[in-house]
Amino acid sequence: MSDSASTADGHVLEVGLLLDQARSYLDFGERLRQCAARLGENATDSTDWGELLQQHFAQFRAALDPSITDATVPSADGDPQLARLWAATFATWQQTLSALGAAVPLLEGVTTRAGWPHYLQVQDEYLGLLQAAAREALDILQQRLEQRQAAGETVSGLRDLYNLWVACNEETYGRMLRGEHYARLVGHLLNALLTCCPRPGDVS
Amino acid sequence: MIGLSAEQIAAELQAFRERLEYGAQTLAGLGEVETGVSPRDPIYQQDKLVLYRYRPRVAAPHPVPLLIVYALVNRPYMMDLQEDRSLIRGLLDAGLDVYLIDWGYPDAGDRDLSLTDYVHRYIGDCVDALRARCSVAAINMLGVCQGGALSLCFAAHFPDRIRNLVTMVTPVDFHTPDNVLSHLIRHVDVDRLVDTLGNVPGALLNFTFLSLSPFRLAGQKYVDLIDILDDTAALKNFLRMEKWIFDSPDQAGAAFRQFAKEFFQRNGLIKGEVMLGERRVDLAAVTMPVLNVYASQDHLVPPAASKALAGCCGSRDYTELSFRGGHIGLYVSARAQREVPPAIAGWLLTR
Repeated sequence: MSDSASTADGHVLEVGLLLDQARSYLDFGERLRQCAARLGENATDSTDWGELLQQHFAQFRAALDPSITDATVPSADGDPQLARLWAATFATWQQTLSALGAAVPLLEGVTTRAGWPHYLQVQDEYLGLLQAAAREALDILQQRLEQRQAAGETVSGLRDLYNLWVACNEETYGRMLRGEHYARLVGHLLNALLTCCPRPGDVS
Repeated sequence: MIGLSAEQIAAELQAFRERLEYGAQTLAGLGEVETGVSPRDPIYQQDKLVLYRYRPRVAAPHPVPLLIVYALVNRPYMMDLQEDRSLIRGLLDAGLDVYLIDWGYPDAGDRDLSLTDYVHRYIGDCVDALRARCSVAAINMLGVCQGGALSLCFAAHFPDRIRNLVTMVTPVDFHTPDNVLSHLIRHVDVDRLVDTLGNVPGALLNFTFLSLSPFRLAGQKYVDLIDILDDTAALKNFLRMEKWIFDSPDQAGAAFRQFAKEFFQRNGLIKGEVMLGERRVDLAAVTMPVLNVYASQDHLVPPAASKALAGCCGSRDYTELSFRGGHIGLYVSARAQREVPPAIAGWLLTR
């Protein structure tokens, strides 16, 4: 006897996750390739590489800011495809919402509930915290790259850069996660959302 | 800028795309991903619970049955994931007679199941079924993670029915500074959560676990998968783990409410304040021999949370086993297969 039949999903979910992340990774790489091409065209013997690096990270930060909440919404300064990579943390909360939505008719009339504005307020605060951690991760990534450059080391490839980016994000996110402010905020976020959900016996 | 040329990046992206296309074909042809490989037979059933006996792998297994009590979150086939990653197989090979409680998948009809139901009724009835079946006064019990905490509760209330107790990655002190799960649940209004949802969706807990390390667990892991897309065996191993990760049963509302509030938020287990039925759980009443197995790099149940048992259980024969690895590695790593089952069996067979 085995548990092979105990879930109906098979590995459909995993393939979806793989493709989603692969798309994000490819977007990330394509964006970098375009930047590298532009830098290559403009570079001369007197190019200030430190300045170019600064410019590059300025573009990253611009990509992060406007679209972390919804990577599908284009903006003037941001790059929604790139932002999708930074938005992993918010995606986790969105998946949590989906999990709750499967249990209660969450999306039916939830935005008309009295507690909804408060929920949005807490969510904004939560997103602000995530963005701060992501920005800090970019700062650390830039520092690490500069340290490598100073040591005469280069990034061996796109994957190397991606892995470094992941490590930096885990570092800053992990620090945030363990802080009292985050614990209080994520608790309030869930509580605020639940306040908007109908409970069994509620008269709508 | 960072030592990468546009051509180099383009070549890497092209190689990635090609592997992805190839991998899609491999994935499509993989078929069913099977888990739970050791043959077993149901010997007792109650509600959604099934008590299994794993078929012994020695001619004369040890006469005292070993009952595995797994956590209510996630599925117990992690203990028997595949032939070369099965703690259960290792225990069978060591000569033990192994039984396991499969809790099943609670549904809306189970929302009122309490921890008292789980510990006194379900575990209690399984223990009694084994005592009768094997003609022994007391059995050996192995509690895993949350199942270890439930096992401790049972052992405290019915010490005469447990001959030896093994706890694996079991939280006892829920308020150690490095306990992230406890940290995150501290401000959650558990009553409102359960009152609203009834049962707590397994997916909610699952995403909570993923949120502990989202860039690695929800991103990098899948990008890295590209490296094994042409390796069918490695891919199946990966998918078995994925299946287990996302195979999260809903949690019976009443039991979740009590566990979240009394264990996580109030740290009641170590304080002796947990109530089951009308009885307080006092770990000083756990007087049988205890083997406490913990993982030194466990990010879900920190070692300190497990090792706290030493200071509060009543056993005079208390042993700790530290495994160098993480919470999941304790079940599935190659080293775990070599080290853990022989150590548990060796400890049990001398008592």
